[in-house]
Amino acid sequence: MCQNQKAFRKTIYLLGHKKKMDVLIIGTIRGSLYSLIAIGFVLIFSVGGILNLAHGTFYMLGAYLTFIFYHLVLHSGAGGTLVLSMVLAVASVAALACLVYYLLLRKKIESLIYTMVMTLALALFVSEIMSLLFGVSGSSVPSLIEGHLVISGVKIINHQLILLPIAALILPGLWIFLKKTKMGQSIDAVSQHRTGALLMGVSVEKVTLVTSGLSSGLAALAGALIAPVSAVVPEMWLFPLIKAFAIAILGGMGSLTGSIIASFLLGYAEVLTSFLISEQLTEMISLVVIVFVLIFKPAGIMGYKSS
Amino acid sequence: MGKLKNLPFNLSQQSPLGLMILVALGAFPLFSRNLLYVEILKVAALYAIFAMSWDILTGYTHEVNFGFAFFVGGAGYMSGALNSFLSFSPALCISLSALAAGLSGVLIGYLTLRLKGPYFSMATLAFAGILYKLAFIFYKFTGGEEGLSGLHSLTPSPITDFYLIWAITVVAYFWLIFYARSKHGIILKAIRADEDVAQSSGINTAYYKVEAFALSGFLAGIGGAVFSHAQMNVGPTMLSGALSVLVVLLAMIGGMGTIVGPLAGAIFLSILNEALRVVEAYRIVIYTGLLIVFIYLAPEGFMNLAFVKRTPWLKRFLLGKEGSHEPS
Repeated sequence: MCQNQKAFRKTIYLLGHKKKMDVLIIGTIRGSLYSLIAIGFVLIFSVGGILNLAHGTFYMLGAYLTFIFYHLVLHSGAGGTLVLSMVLAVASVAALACLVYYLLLRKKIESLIYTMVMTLALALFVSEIMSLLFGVSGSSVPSLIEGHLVISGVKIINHQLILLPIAALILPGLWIFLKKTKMGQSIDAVSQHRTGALLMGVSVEKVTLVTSGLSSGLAALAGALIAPVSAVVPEMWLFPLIKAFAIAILGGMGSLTGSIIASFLLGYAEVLTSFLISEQLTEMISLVVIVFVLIFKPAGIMGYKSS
Repeated sequence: MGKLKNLPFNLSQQSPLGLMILVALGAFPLFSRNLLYVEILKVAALYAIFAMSWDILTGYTHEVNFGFAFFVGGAGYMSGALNSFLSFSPALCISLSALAAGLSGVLIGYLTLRLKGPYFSMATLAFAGILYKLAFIFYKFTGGEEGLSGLHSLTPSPITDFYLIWAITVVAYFWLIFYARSKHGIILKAIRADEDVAQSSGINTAYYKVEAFALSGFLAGIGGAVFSHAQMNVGPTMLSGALSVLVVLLAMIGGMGTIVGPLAGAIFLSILNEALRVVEAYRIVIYTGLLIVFIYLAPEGFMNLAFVKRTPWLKRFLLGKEGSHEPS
């Protein structure tokens, strides 16, 4: 451990001051984005037992629907329009996810293979529809705040900074919702023990429905927020899905705290790799994390179940 | 005599549907020499090999392998690289890569053995993803985005190519049926029903799971290597997640744990996919939409519908005499 720390300090030293800030700021931004994506994925897994392979699709739909509402439905240049289209996008994705759960998944929710294959088929279907409607070249949405900021020598696009306060609001907000409200407590209860919650009079089906909406809403929010600074393309569902996998496994499936810690760890690790070794390897990190954590410590950093 | 009845190659016990599909596939070039159709059937037969070899692990143990492209694309790339850099003959390339795929099946099986359910699926998915990324990083050996082209073809003519692939499909089909009906297949079914109970009856479940994984990888490796030589090139699509997903969908819609189900599913759905080319612009959307509808209608696959189970003659026709499958 000590040696690791030494090696780590050495790399940090090699990076130089400017790069250090780069890693810190960009890593934090990435971490907040990942935590928004991954927390919903972990939530729906622990509540419904659904390994939602369409989670990345909800993220993609968040971005696409923002584009659709902004350019095709509302098409006015007023300041509030973009925020309004983001809100509408998140709300409609949440409604859509509830519909998907109610119509397609509810019937066979206890079959893991069925839910996995169904959500994956849905992901492919939606991605094909989007490439049919808008082409593969990508669509763009304007930023909420234009321009960029220079923080101790690091150039940061302003829009990306919005992710920080939003994550800082949403994550504690979610925690308060889960611990203090009746609905949140039911969600917590079902995720701890499904049968036990059922016996205590919790409507498991309603809880799963709400959780589907909530988790896909969070993914859609991440997608809507990232739309202005990344290309909105039909393949954009795959990368957040793999990140969500890696984070969920690293944090321990079913542990929300663990997944938030893992999100930031992954964010920093990726930025470090892209600075130290090569940009190409950043995508590999999440895959390697999945394999190594599963083989050597399947419970993850905060998990308690290993099966 | 009693022993003779249990012979796996006793044709009267086989599924008539499976035999009919294989015979029809083999007889097709006798009636039509249209190379386009032969080409379509060739790809369909290769997908049938993939779906069937996927089924021997996943259908019989219910541990979903979501990274099947690892074997297919890995063997395809290895065969392609051996052929174009060392100019080995296709036969040697294919056997070496199939062996390598089988061995990596043992290795991955051994590493991921403890994992169950979603964890196993994610691990296999990650293995395939890593190989996909490596194909781009080591672009000197893999040709990067474009892949390797100009590989030696299998045989001089497309018709003999087709018959070679057909023969592999037939051998794979009977091999897997034989395996599934043997002690090994029954043990896999026992593991599917309850692994702990199987273990406490003195069965080394780990061994049988790794064995099924290796067999599945070996056959997929043959299929993948043959695929790359039949197309005379190998590209990243053979390693992509789309291929893994397609194999899962084909086998699942056909009916997991039956071998004949994935065969029928792969052949019919591949032909359906080609038939949809009349509406090329909407083809993939319609195709994936139809797949969703099929899975919704028959979550266990068409061979395992309750309706089939209740109708004795239909069950006999689809699954053969002993091939019944009780989903747990």
